[in-house]
Amino acid sequence: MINILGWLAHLQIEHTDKVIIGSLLLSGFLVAGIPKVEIQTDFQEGLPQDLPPIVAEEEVQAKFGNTETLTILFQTDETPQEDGYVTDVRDPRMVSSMNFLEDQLQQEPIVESVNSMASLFEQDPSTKQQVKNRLSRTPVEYVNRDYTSTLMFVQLSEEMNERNIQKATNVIEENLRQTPSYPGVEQSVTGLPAIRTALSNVIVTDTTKIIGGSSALILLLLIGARGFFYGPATFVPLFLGLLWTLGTMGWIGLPLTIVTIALSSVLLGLGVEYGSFIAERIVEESEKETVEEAVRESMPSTGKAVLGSSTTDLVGFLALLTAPISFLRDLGLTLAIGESLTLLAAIGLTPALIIRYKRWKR
Amino acid sequence: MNLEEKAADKYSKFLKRFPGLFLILMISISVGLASFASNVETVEQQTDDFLPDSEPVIKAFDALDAEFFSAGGTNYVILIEPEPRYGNSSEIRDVRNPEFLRYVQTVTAELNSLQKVTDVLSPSDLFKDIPSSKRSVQNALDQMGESRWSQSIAKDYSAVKIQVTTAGLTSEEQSQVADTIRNSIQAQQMSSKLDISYTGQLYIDEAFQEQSQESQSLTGLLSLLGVTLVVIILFRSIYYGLNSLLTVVFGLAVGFGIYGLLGLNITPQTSGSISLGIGIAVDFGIQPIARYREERQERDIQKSLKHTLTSVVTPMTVGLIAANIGFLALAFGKLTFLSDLGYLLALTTTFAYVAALTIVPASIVFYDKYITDKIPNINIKQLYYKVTKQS
Repeated sequence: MINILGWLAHLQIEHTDKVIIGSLLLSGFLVAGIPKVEIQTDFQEGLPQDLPPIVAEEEVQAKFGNTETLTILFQTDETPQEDGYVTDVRDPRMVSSMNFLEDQLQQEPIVESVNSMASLFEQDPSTKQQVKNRLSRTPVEYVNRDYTSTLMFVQLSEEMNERNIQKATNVIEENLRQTPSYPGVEQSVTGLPAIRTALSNVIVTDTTKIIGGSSALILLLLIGARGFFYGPATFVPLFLGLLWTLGTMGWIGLPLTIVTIALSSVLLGLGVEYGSFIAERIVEESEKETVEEAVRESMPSTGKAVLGSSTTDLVGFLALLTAPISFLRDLGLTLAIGESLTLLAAIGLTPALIIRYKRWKR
Repeated sequence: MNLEEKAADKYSKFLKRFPGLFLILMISISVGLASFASNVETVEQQTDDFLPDSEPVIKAFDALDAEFFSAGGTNYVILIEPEPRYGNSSEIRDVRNPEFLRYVQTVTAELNSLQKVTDVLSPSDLFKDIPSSKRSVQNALDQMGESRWSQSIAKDYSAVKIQVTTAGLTSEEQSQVADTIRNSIQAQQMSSKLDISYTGQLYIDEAFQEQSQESQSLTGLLSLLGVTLVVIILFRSIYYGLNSLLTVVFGLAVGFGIYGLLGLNITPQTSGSISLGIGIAVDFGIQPIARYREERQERDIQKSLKHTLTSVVTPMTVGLIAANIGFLALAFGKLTFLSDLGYLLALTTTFAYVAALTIVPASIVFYDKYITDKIPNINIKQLYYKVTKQS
C-alpha cells in the first residue's frame, strides 16, 4: 500500500500537469453522464417482488386493471364573494365546464378514460335540481357532504411511471387552462401519482439546493481555515469527486431516489476530511522542506490513514448491499462509488494542485 | 507556544495523569445519554408524508382525504380466488357460483360491521339477492353490463375483489383495522378451498416497514463486523483497532440517545443510517490513533499526545464542521424525512468527534501507561508468526 502511495507521490511530482489535465478530461467525460441520471419515486419498485402484498397487488392489476388514477379536485368557496360566483358544485355551469374538460381529455392519447359527475349527463343540465336528482340516483361519491368539492378521475392509457405521470399532469393542466372556468372554482391535480410527480421535481430541486448551499458553505469554511489557495485546493477535488459520482450514476444507470438524494451531503461531508488531512500534512511538512519532499513524505503516512478511514466508510456502505430493499442497495452502491471517487480525487489531485501552486510561486 | 499548543499541552498532561478517572467519567455520561435511545422508534411513512403539507399537491390530497373518504381514504384490498384441489371434484372453481357469492356477501356484511370502516365495495353490492344458479348470476351480470361489474369481478370469473375504506385514521388505527379485516375474514368458514390475499397501500407499507427493520439489523451488524476487521488489519493490532471503534460506540449511542431525547423517530427510508453512521464515526477514531502511534516512535506519552492533538484537531474540526454543513443542509430541502436523517448523522458525527478527542486519547494513554509494559500489544503479525511457528 505504502509503495502504491509512494508511486502516486512520484507521479504527482514528476507529471504534475499531466495529472491535473487528466483529471479535467475525466471530469469532462463523467459530467456528460449527469443528464442521464434517472429519478425514481415509486417505493413499491424498491421492495422484493415476492412479498405477498406485492404479488396480490400485481394480480389485482392484471385481473381488474390499474386502479391508480390522477384526480382533479374542484373546490368552491361556500360564501359568495360577488354575484356569479359558483358556491355549490351542483351548479349546472360546473357540469358543463367539466363536460367540456372530459371531452377534451378523452381526445388525449395518454388518457384512457375520464370519470366525473359530468359523465352522468348526456346533455348539459339547465337547473341545479336536475343535477341534484341525477346525483341522488348514483352510488358513487362524486360530491362532498357540503357540496363544495367534486372530483374527476383520469385513468392513463400507458404505464404509471414517472415520465407518463408527468406528461399526463402537464396535459391535464394545459386542458384545464383551456376549459371555460367560473369565478369561485379552484382546480388542482392530486392523488398518489401526482404526489410522485411532485416528489420527483422536489428531488431535483432539493439536490441542486443541497449541493449548491453546502458547497458554498464548505468552500467558505475551507477558505477561512486554510486561506485563499489551500481552501480551494482542498475543495476543488472534493467537488469534482461529487460530479464524477453523479456522472457515473448516469452512465451506469443508477437512479436518483428519495433515499440516494442524501448522497451529495454525505459525500461532501465525508470527502472534505480526506483532502483536509492530506493538505494539512503537506503544508506542515513543506515548512521544513521543499514541496516535492513534503509530498513524498506525507503521501505514504497520511495517505495510509486516509485510505484506512475510507475503507471503513466503504465497508459501512457496502453492508447496505445485503439489504432486501433495492433503494437501500442503490444507496450503498452509490455511496461506495462516490466514496471511492472522492478519495481518488483527494489523493490524486490535491497534492498535484499544491505542487503546481508552489512551483508557480517559486 | 500558541494558544492551541498551550491547550493541547495542559490537556495532554491532565490525560496522562488521570486517564482512568477521565474514562470512567466519560463512560458514565455516555451511558446516561445513550439510555434515551430506547425512545427512538421505527415509524411508518406514506408517500404523502414525504412532502410538507404546504405543497399544493399535498394540500389538495389532504382536502380529498377530508372530504371524500372513497377517494382520499385508506384502501384495503382483498382478493378472493377459488382454489380447487382436485380435477373432477364439485369444488367451486368459478366466482359466479351462488355459494361463493353468498360467502362473499357474508364476508362483506362482517366487514361493514367493523368499527372505523367507512365503506366496503364488494361484488355482492351488485345483487339485491344472490341468484340461485350460476346461469342466473350470468344473466344478471349480462344485464348490468361489464363496465359495472368488472371493477369487482375478474373478467375471466377467476377472482373477486373487495375494497374496504377507512378515513381520517392514525397509522396505528389503520394497522389495527388491517389486522381486524384479516382476522374477521379468516373466521368465516367455506366448504371449498379459497386463496385469499390482502393488498393495498397499507399492507404494502407494513411489508416495507418489516423489510426495513430486517435490513437495519442485518446491515448494521455486517457493517460493524466489517469495520472491526478493517481497523484491526489497518493498525495490525487488536487493541488499537478496537480502540478506534470507541468513536462508533460513543457516537452512535450518544447520537441516538440525543435523537431519542429530541423525540425524533426513524422511518423505513432512514433505516440505512446506522450503517452510514458506523462508517462515518470510525473515521474520527482512526486519525488520532494513527498519528499517536507515529509520534510514539520518537516521543514519550505526554509529548506524543500533545503533538497528536495539535496536528489532528484542525483538520478534524474542519471535517466536522464541513460534514455537519452537508448533513444539516438536508434539513433545508422539502423532503420531510431527510431533515431527520441529517440531524441523526450530524449528532452521530459530532459525538464521534467528541469521543475521538476525549475517550480515544484517554483510552490509549491508559493502555500505554498501565498495560503495555505488563501485557505486550497483541500484534496480529507476531501472533500469526507465533501460531504458524508453533504448528
